[in-house]
Amino acid sequence: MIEAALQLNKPDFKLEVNFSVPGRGVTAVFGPSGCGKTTLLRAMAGLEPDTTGSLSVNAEHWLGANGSKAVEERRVGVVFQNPSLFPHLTVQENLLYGRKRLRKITEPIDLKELISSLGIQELLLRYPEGLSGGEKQRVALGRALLAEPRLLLMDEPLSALDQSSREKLLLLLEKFLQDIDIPVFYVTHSSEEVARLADNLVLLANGVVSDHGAIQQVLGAVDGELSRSDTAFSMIEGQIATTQLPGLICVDCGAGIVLQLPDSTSMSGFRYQPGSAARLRIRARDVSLCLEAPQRSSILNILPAVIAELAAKPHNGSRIVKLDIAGKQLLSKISEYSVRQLELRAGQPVFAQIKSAALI
Amino acid sequence: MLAQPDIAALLITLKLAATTTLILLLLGTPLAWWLATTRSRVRSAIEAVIALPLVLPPTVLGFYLLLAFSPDGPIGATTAALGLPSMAFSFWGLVLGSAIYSLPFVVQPLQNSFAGLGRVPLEVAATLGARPLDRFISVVLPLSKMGYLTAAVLGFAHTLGEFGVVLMIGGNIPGETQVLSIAIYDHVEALEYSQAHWLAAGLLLSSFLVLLMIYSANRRFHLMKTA
Amino acid sequence: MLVLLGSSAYAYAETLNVAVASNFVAAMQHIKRAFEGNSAHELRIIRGSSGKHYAQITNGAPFDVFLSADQGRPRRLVEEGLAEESGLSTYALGQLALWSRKKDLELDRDYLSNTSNYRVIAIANPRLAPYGQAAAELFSSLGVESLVSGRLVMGENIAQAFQFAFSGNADLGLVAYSQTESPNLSGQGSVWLVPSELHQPIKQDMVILIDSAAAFEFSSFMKSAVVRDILLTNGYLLPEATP
Repeated sequence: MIEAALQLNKPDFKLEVNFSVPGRGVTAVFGPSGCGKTTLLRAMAGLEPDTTGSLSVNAEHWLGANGSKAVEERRVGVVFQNPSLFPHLTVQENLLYGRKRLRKITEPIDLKELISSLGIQELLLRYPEGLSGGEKQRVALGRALLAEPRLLLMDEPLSALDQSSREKLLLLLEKFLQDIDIPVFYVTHSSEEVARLADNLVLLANGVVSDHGAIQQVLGAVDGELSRSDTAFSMIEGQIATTQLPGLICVDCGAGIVLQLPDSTSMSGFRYQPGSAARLRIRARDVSLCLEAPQRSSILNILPAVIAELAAKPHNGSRIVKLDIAGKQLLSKISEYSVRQLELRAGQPVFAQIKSAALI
Repeated sequence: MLAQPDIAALLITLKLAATTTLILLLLGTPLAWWLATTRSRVRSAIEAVIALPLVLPPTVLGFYLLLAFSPDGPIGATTAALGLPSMAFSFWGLVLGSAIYSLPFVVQPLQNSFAGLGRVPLEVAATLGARPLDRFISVVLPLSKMGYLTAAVLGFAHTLGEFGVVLMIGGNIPGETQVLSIAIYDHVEALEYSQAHWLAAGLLLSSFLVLLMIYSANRRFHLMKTA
Repeated sequence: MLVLLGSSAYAYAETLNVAVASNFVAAMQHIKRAFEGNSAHELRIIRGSSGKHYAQITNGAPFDVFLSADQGRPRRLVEEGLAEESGLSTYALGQLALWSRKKDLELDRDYLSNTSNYRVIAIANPRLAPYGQAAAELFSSLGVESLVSGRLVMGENIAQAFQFAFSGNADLGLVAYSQTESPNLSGQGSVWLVPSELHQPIKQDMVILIDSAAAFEFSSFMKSAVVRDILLTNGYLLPEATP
């Protein structure tokens, strides 16, 4: 378990958080810019000396009544927004910087395998100066991991990259973060990254945690902050289908549900392997409802669903409706006017139209 | 041409500049580091004190050092109590005077260099398990080569040309405290202009060679590369 | 005759720039007061080392009269055509003194010769200052050059030599006797007036650099009884008192 009760007062900002998440898997810290995500991460790493409260990471006490563990004692790996590789060391020397300082190496990591799975084997003798943003971040990730951290903190690692590098690195992280046995705290303001990477979710706004827990549970809180905001979204898991239609990517979400999306291979340059796992982010505002099956529509994905729950009150003229599609949770944000018009209520069967979904 | 005493003066001068520079680099490092990283309220006061030799006339500094070295002055009393010879008219007295005089020329470039690194490289090193001293040696020092180069060159050059302080506390002892600047001055005073010219040329040439060596090494080994 | 009367009728008060060797400045203040009390003209005293004054004069400094610490520099000015032979004269004879800031010391030639009495002795640089030269001659007369050499510290000028002794950094100083008579000292320390036979006379020469009535008036005044008195009370000997 990772348990945190942290307070930090800075001249123009106040952080006061309280949460508890599993000590495994990826926990995303999600919120708008300026809400304190980076400050929270820094406080957890021990980089903000004025932090008070308590923090324990899988039974290791990093902050508490007995004082605060120094940063260098915390075994915390950090990947910053800007790669921050040491300019005077080669990639290889950078990678090994933390590892050299371990008092004992408890996990003999296969260096070669890590380097090749990060795709950086060609870069080892080069200096950071000539590397691309994506390459630097991969090295930074390798460097953090090689130091055998107890907790990996990632602060918007993709935001400084261009679109194509971002895509490539996100693909890498998707697979990578699930394979490592270390808990990860992943800070982002991108709902797509949250959907594709997170097992747990901490919502942060104005320095305070507004909700936290397993991802589906937090996303599905119809009366929560997230649902009321413009960024409300759902995450659906599936597999790249074995049969494909021309110009489309089909994702099999189980129970007969197949979602179809336009093929963006040419843009990202990545061929999708049939059978490989995929996670979709679907914005609530991209999901509309019909009481009858619409005919000959341009929208590709029209799915039968049952209304599981409605938000108690409308917000800014819209209301969140939580749908159940063969056991999967999907949020829809529609105008309050339509809610009344269509007399929507829990238990009612409807058709969900999904305008677009973000995939890979 | 250069006579024996003049050559001795040249060697003493180089020895003084090198010794002073080395000592200042060693002492200046922790001082500059503290100044660059502390949040203490007394920082500004300390910075002002360090910058004082920039505005104080060297002869004034030398005069007060002379008083301090005397048997009833603070330094003179201490050396006497420790059974050490007086620092007046001694090479080490000159080193002390030069160190005070050239202090800001060494500390300020170092401080700027350290501060210019920002806190990120150090934070990264800390997260990778490096303790404070380790962080300094493995990250700060390699990235501060330019700062050290500047500090060394400035400190050395400044001490080479020093006159006022030595004038007051040196005593003009050949082979011990008779430095080039004094020797040149004396030649002029004694109307020995051609020796003065030779000495000045010798000083310029040796300074130039030292600086040339440093800047060439910098080019070859890319000491200035920090990115 | 008429012309002379005419010119004196049009004579106006001048200010003379007088370059004075540092060691003579105290005496010069007295001389200035006496001169200005009796003359329409004024004196402006520029103190400094004679070597510097010489260099400045040869480079066009606007000095009217030069009172040097030695004979050599005024002579060179005459040789270089910057002054007339007729304007050259010895204005005072310096005396050497051994001085220590410690009181009640019996300073004499034996004290000086017994080098275990002191660690450091300060003199002016013999190459630059006639008093330094005299000090070197004194060591030679007493036969103690080699004994003294390890203890010797040289000041750039007599004032610095005195400073070394006064601050206590040097146990002894061979200085100008006129310095030891200074009212600023108020009788502190111990002194031995070195007999003039033990060194070459320290002849201090002056030279006139401009052709003006005021300059000549001043030059004559320097030979007057008033000035002779001032010399004696300030620790100098009269110019003609050569042993």
